[in-house]
Amino acid sequence: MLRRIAVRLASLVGVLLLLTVIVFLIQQTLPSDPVKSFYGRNTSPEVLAEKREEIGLDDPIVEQYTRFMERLVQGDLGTSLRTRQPVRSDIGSFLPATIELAAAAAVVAVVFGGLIGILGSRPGRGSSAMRSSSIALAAVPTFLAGILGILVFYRWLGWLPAGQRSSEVSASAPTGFLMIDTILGGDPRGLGDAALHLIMPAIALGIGPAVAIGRTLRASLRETYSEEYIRTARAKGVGESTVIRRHALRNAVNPALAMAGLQLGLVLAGAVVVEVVFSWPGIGLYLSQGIASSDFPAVIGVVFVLGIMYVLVNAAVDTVQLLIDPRLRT
Amino acid sequence: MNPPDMQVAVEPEAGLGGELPTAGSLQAARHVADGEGMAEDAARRRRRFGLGRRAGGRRRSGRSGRVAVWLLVGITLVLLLLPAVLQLSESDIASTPFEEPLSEQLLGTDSQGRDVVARMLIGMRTSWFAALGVISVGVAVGGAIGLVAGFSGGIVDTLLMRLTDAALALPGPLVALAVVAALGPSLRNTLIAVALTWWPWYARIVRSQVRSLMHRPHVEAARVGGLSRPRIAFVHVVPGTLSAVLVAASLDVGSVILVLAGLSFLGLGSPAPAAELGAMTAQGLTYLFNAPWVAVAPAAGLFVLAVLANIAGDAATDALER
Repeated sequence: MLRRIAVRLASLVGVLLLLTVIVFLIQQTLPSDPVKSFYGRNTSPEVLAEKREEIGLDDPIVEQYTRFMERLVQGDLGTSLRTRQPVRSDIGSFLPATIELAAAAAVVAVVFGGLIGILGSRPGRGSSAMRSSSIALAAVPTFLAGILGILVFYRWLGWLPAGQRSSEVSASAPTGFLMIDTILGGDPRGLGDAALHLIMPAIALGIGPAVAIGRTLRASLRETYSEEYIRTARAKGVGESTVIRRHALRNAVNPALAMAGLQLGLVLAGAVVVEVVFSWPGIGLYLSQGIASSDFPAVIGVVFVLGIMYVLVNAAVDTVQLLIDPRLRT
Repeated sequence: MNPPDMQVAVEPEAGLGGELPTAGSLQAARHVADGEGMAEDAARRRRRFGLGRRAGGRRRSGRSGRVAVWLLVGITLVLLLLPAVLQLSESDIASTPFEEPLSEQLLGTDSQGRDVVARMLIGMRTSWFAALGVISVGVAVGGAIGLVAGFSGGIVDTLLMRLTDAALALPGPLVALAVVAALGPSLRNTLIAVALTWWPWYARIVRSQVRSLMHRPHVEAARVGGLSRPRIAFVHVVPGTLSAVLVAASLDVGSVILVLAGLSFLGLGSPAPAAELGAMTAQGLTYLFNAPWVAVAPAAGLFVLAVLANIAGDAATDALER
């Protein structure tokens, strides 16, 4: 058990190292000259060459990678060409909004995924309707879900707000997580407002993963229903809901968990698109503005941070799987 | 591909069911199954139910195979012929800007007075062929890596599969995004970037197929017969891996279409005035409340294309698996 987790951690370190190598190589292949774009086009070539040597862009590649890693370990991601601020502090100020959105989407994905899986696994009616609708739902582009949500629930029905995280700019934001800040500040109106703003983006972001999780759970539940211990439990007269909860779900949940890990990782990538649709002030919006203004340090910084989160989420889910399923431990 | 090869292309663990016929003993065997077997099982499931759209086992039918082929051919032909026959153009000014749908143009015009339907169809054509291109490259690269790994075994196998696992553990779309941002936004660079991240699953599938095929009598016979290694690989092993790879690839078309559109939406596709569904939607967002059709039409076109691809993939799975 411990050995398994140790092996998992070792591979985690390997993957993170690979991520740094990829990010480093991408930086190396940048066609634009970082020195030139930072000091301006009108700087003379001699000064540019001098600066280049000063920063060490002429050094051997391994040396540059070592230096890159040194800076990375210190949390230095470079300076944004657009905001002229350190990328790290930019990301730091936008990250809470993204995490809040991703967490809400994860709740949507797991809750709806569970419902789809459990309801869909029941024999009889609705099974093929379930299948067709999940084929269709899996094909909905994230931005289409967002746009239709905005048009229907904001524009036509006026039920929900669209865009931004809250109606008013809150003065005190100790954590940056609006839901937590408003609770800490004893501001029930602000909390409700923040929650309302969160609903549509979270659903737009979470619905695709919910379908994927639901289908996995449904398939593995169906397989479990044909096991003998389920028949035994039913023959003993155990209620159907108890059969599902105590006997089937526990044995069937593992593939769905693996799926959830993958999907929650993908939620981070999808968040970028959703943030653009809803003008959600997170690192996704920062990233897309960075793309529009060729701000490579910002783009690469955000990709790196999201990549780390993706890898960590998957590692965490793998560990949870080990904890709940003894069959995986041997 | 002939029928015997398809029979051969069954998952390795399928043998378990053959030896142990009753449900009870099957379950017992599952508990005994070693950790690696479980991990492979989980990986297979991730594959099948994650990017894949298939749920539950259904019996194989000749009809769904035909459905899949007709759908794929039909989409390709329609997208190839329609813009050409109707002489659609992505940059022609058709009318005044923001013409409402059903007035003169079927779906109205955009901010520059261009026909939304024309641009949507051209964008769908771009998406479709781009996705097919990415998948072909992915299958070729992944297939080659999987074949080499499975065929050589030993240290080469270990190294290649470690690399594959590491690549799988990274978020593909994000890495692709960074690569495009570095290479410079364009459709070609987007295709390269996504193709670079879309091979690991194929490598895994091909490798596991090759490993199990290597011990089949027909391959051993070929080896005893003294055939050359390339001949054994390409004539006796590769055909047996095809159906599994085709299933995986056909299930991926819809996902690739969506990933490419997402990158284009973020401004990483071709520069304007090229008609790309993602970029068109992003441009339409500005006028969402005054002219919603400009943003909704391309996004809906994308949805239709992805649904058709998913149905085709589902049907192909039905026909080729089991």
